Amino acid sequence: MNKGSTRVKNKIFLAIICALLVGIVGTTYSRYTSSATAVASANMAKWNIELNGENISSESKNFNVTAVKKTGVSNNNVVDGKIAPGQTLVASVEVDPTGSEVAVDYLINVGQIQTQGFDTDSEISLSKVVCTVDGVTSEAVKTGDGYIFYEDLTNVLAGNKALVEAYVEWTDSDNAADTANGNAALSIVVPMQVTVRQHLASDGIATYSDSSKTLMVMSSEIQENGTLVLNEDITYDDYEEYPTSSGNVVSFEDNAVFDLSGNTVTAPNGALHYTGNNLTIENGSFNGLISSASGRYGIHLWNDEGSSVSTGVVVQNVSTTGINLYNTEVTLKNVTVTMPDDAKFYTVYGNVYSTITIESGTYTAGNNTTALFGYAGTDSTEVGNATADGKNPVDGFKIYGGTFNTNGKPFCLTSSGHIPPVIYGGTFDCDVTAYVAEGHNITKVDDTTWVVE
Amino acid sequence: MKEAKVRKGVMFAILLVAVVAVIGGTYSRYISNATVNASIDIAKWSVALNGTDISTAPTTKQVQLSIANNGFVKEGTIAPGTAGTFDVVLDPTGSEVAIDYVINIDTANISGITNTASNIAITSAKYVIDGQAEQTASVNGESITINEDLSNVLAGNKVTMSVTLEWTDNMTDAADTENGVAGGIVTVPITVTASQHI
Repeated sequence: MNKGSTRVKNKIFLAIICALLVGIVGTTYSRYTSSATAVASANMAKWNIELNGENISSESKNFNVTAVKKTGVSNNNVVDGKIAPGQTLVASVEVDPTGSEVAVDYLINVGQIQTQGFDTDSEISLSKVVCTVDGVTSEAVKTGDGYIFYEDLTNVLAGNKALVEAYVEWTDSDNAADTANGNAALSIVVPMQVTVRQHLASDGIATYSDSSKTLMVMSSEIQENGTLVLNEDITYDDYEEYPTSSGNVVSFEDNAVFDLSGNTVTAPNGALHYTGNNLTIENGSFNGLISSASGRYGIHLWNDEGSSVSTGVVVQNVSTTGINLYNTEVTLKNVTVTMPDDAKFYTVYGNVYSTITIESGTYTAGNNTTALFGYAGTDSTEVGNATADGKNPVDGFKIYGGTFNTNGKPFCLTSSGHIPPVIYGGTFDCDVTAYVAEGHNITKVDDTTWVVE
Repeated sequence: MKEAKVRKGVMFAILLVAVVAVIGGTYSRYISNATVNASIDIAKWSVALNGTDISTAPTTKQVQLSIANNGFVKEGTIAPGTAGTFDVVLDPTGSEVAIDYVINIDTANISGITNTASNIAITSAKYVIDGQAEQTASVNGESITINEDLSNVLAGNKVTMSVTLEWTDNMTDAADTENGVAGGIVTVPITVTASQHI
């Protein structure tokens, strides 16, 4: 017998035995084993929206709404229910979010008027959109996407409806077209689209609730179209950390809203510089702490970035100890500016490359105020002259309404380097005849009251 | 020839056994007998899932997602742009063997979504054994195996797996709206098997 062959056979035989043994062991092994099933679940937030009583949650619907006169908005020189150049009518819809479980944005747009025979050179457009929720009225923010109004989750969950009022204005711009349309006596349809959408965190609303963050940090976290809502007063009274005129920049992205929500920001004069294109500052108070030079401006709208200008800034429903502008174009609506008696300088002051439009509010000088208004041109030697880039407005300071109390101080600076406002309306405690715009009248009511209309 | 050799060998072996047996039976010696009862404790087995003992019988445990409250969505609900997390906590306290946990997040069978075009998905899973570094786990539907050695088991160190479910706002407005109108409950099935590590 071949020995090698026998060894090979023995090895194979042994391997088979081993394999069998392992197999037997394997199938008879046991161990501790337990199993379970976990079911993780979450409720979906609901979505339910009605517009004028009809559910639009799942489908778009058309509504016909008649624009009407509104007291304080429309003029009485046009017959009721009709629009004409210079007239503003208001179209209203009611949005009911009852049943929804998310915060919502209302986006309002108007399209081109398609009515046959209408001369589209006439300018009929949305001038603003006002929304009222639970008795609180706010102006929708104008953005590149249209007018946006935000209804917070608390109001949605409470089922608070939003009254959305669209101000449709026929601007006096093209006499020929306006006349042609007047002769045609058309019944026009202004196509208005109301979109209700879930508000996302990424849309930029942030709530100031983290006291470890400064206003500068919070504002930097607000994205484009976002809103910073203040939940509490903010006081920066440490002059070393927030020295006057140091310019801590409170910078916002485009179309942001800084909603003080009834709260107050207190900081040394000039310590905070607010910037941002189409920034809206609203619904609260500012208190400027006095500087060594006795300035007490509560709001510094300053764009410190070279010659760039913050455009489209709106301050509304705000009270403050003074407003100071630099490279900023601002409109003031329902703003109460009161310069305290211990403060010097001006109730409102506009530095270079700034424009001021006052629509309403109350503006009051203090005992030590130099003048109620100061408005500088491009520089001290080019008063009222537009620069090559056109940034210096010849008539960059306009007053359309409001109450103005000089308390015996000068109404405005007229010295070199300063230009007066152009006045279209308002009530004044001094004679401002010299500044009234063409086509407008000033009436002396008594020795302390002049009215411009 | 070969067969004769085998036969001789077998016969020799039988003869040898027989001789030994005979001699053995007639031998005498000192002999004492005793019985020893060897006492051995059985290693214990005890595993709990989110506080419920699953040692003895298969169990189904309901787990509510914890939704990050961003102020824009009703608390405890999920909507586009939000995310929720849930924890699977495995507690070996009482066990006396090393344990292998196999966790399967059944991402293919997330239910309760009316329009599945919405981006609702498990986006992350992480686990940690008490006192140790956090580990990232796969969320592609594959089972995740976690070994807890004996020292950790005896110390009663828990294994916590945190899973994130996210509803991404990803240009699926129509589907998202449909789901919001329909409402409902999103559920994610997870199976957990705990086995003695051999």
